[in-house]
Amino acid sequence: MRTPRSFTWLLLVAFLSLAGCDETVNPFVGLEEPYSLYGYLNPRVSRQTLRVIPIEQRIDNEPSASIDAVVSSTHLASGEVTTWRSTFVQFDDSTFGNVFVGDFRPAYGETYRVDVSRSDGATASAQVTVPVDIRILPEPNASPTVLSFIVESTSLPNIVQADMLYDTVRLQPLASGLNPIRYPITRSYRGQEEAGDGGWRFFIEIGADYQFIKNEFEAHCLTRDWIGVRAMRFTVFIGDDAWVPPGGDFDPEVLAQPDLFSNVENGFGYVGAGYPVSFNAIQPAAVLGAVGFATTGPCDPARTPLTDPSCEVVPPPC
Amino acid sequence: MSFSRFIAVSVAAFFLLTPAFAQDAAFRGRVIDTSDGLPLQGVNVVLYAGEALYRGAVTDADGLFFLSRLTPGAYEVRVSFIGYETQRDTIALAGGQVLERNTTLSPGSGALDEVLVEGERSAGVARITAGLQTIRAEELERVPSPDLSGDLASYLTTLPGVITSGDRGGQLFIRGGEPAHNLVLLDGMTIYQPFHILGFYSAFSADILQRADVYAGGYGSKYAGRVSSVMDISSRSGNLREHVRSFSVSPFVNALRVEGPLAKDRLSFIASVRQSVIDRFASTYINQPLPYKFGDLFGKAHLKVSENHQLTVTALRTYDRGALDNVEAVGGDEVRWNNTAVGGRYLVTPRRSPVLAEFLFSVSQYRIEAGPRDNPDRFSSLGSFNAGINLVAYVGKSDISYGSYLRTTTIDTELGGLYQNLSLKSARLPKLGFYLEPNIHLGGGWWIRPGGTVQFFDQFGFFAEPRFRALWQAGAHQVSLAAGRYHQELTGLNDRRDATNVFTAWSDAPFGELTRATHAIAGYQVDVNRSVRLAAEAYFKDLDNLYISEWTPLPRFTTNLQRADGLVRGADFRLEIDRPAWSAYVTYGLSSVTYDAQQEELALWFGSTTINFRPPHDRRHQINALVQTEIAGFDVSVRWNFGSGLPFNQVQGFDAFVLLNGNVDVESEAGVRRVIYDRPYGGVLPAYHRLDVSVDREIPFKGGTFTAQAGVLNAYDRTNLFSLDLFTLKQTNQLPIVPILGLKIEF
Repeated sequence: MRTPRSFTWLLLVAFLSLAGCDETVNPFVGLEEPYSLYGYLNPRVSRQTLRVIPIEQRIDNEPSASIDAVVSSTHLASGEVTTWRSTFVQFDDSTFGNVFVGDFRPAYGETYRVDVSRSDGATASAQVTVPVDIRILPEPNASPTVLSFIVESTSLPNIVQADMLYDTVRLQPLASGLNPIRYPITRSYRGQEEAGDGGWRFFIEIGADYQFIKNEFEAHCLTRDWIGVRAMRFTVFIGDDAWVPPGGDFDPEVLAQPDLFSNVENGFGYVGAGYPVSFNAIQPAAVLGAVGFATTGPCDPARTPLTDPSCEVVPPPC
Repeated sequence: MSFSRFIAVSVAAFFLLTPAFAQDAAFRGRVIDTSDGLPLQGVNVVLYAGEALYRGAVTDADGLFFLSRLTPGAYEVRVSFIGYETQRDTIALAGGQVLERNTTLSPGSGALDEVLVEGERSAGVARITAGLQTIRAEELERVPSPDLSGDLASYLTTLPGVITSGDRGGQLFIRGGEPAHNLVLLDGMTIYQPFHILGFYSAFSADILQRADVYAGGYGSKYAGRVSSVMDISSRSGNLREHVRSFSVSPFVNALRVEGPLAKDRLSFIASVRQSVIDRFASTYINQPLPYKFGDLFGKAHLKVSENHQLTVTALRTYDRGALDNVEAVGGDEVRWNNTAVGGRYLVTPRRSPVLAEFLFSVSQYRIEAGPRDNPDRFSSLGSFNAGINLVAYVGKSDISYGSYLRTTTIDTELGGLYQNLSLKSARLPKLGFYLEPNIHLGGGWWIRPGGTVQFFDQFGFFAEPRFRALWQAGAHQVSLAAGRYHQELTGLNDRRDATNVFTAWSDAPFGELTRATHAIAGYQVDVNRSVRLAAEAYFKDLDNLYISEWTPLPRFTTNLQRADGLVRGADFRLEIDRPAWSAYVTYGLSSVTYDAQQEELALWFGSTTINFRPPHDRRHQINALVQTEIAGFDVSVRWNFGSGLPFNQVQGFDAFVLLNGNVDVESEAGVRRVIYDRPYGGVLPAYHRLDVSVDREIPFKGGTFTAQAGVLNAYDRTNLFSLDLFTLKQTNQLPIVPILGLKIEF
């Protein structure tokens, strides 16, 4: 056996030779998919928009106006191809991103394929069928404070969103010393549609919605008194048949998982087809008053135009 | 049965177990070191009838030995220990007599007449018995480290099966378990986080350590409340004969220790304080900031109440603070923690009863905070009170250990919204426990320790945990076995998506079910000759109800908590050589840790709702080689450490996520940045290896010694990764080549 001293030196020499064997770490496994796509084809407008997000190896890469992407859409029945134009937009949070615009109006019931191609040939695609046309019609109220709407169509379309918007305003007495507050509140009726002859039916319980609104006011540190309504609007968003989240809810925690809710081939995201339809549902003062809304005071619709700036005060922070 | 009634019935039943033995003779005593008046552990005490060896024992941590069921008659007593002069005496035992005889040993050149390895009381890297490794203070000094005196933390990293997060963080993973699954006791007091933020240091330096029993698994009935490992550490008592002072300085840590008698041979004290200074010197010393502050304060008083009664009171305070990531940022986030523990131990060896009784009481506090330096937004604190009784009854060649404890732990945690599906509030966990573990000598070299522990929780009910340990010894060969079932009511939650995150939030069982484990160990050890020892050990741990963070592609602080089950399999191999002029050991650890977790959202992503993955502490291969020798009067230690790469989360890419839930204007809605992860922990980091060298020279002077140390850590400047920020690609490395210097004076 070697003596311990020479063994020690041998050990040191051997290990010194390892000094140059540093290894780098590559955390990226690479991805063939070039893009994530978000947007929808709207048959009710002649300007289509699509958010294109390149999949990159840095989270902090700033988007550039010159994106390596070409977007086109093809009407499958006719083969007509539309090339979209690139725009560089600033979002509400002041960040920037790439949105492509297609200047055409897709037809109801028709199928389109959207392709986004990179210069190296990598392409992300999505195919979607535009839902049929509908209209919202009011039906005789089931009761004085329960509104009824029918989403009339030849088939039962996919209701992606159904909201009752109450453009509420605080109609405080002059002597209260409080300022008017405008606080639009939306209550979702998604999932509450009932199938019937001619389409989906919604039953809007204004009384229950009033309680909901009062709770919202309280949660926002606003007094629950003197709540008036300047406008009411019932809106549904009709989407393509595949526009249904797994589990039934649009939970961002869940849907953020890549591929969980996606129709993009060789990419991520969702390219849908759909459109919103609204119906002005403001009710007479007698109906509103019956459920508890205030109907008179500064900024009530009977006295003050909806555009009066003195009635546009937003609620203060809670 | 209500909790209070259970306590009353249990206490009554407990005292009925106290044995009474009357007719056989017994011989017992204590062995003391004449140089400091302190007990000596591991001393062989052998009775000879004529020339024939009759019976033998080894002294325990208190220097006590006990031989019972002896045939009345005359015997020669030989007391021997390496490095001390052997003492011989003769005794005559009458029927029913319990003869008590204390012995003092003086340092000398004496060698053991005969090596007796009894049960599990032995030290050395290759002396491992069914997961138990006993470590003595002098072994800590063998490992090159920035601490001139040696520290338990540095030594533990040389053991196979012990994984750390590297040279910082203070996180120890032992045979697949997580840091929160380790029970650390100092003189019976629970210390929740004794390992300092700089990985070479812990609260247990060689200056205060007497002995550490480290159970990497399969621990016996005396221990409960953790599912992976136990470190049962005994501290030194102060010198009973003379005052000793030591002071050491180095660019890392300065330390001061004083000890001595307050009443000679009766009352002593020892106090130690260590304070880090590396944050002041790092930038110039190693050209890299190390913004860590840590320190510890230890004190102990030891009183010999009488020949058969001893009282010790121990106190410990530690603190740590620093930033593990983004160390260059000024005013950024940091983590800090502190421990405070005070406890007492009263030891009784009744004159007429072959029983040793130990009464323990302690109070432990722990708090950890994380977040912005001036306003941490997360904290977790633990406070516990423990009162316990441990008894050992000696019955012939066997003994019976049994005991009881009452423990209550208070938890207070504020997570700052870390886990969205978890709301923690203050909790109080009282617990009553009993254990019984006979150590039975079957003959033919067999010892078995079947036993069990019973825990009763006010909130969770009643748990019985069977335990089993066995030892077969024949000449140079030893086979050891261990198995057991374990529960843990305290859960430590750590978001291991971030390797630099050491913040652990403590909770009672988050979803109402206790973490539990089943262990099995089988080992073999052989003394090839007087110098060479080989050991091999295989182990298995089945872990249930672990709590981990869910994977979320949204790069943010908050997540959900989910359950996972773990499976650990491994084997250790050890070779130790002890020659007069040099010593060496090589260890190899082979291990596999896998977790199974359920997450429904993964189904479309990875094809299955059940994901099987390697957690980030699954190091498959580990090698340690250490050589120690003397060259020209200098003590030289060389250590090489290798670890295969740890798993980490690889990324497929980054994009953004826009919630398309209806009428969304994609020209206004920016969405959120998103990480497209590959399969969890599917990547493997590069291997880790490092060479450390230290050279010491001890220079005696009148009344003391002066020790100088020089050396180098990471001698070939290997770039070992500590953490990689996937979002910024910023890589934080372990320490580069670091010169170590130290001076110590002891007088």
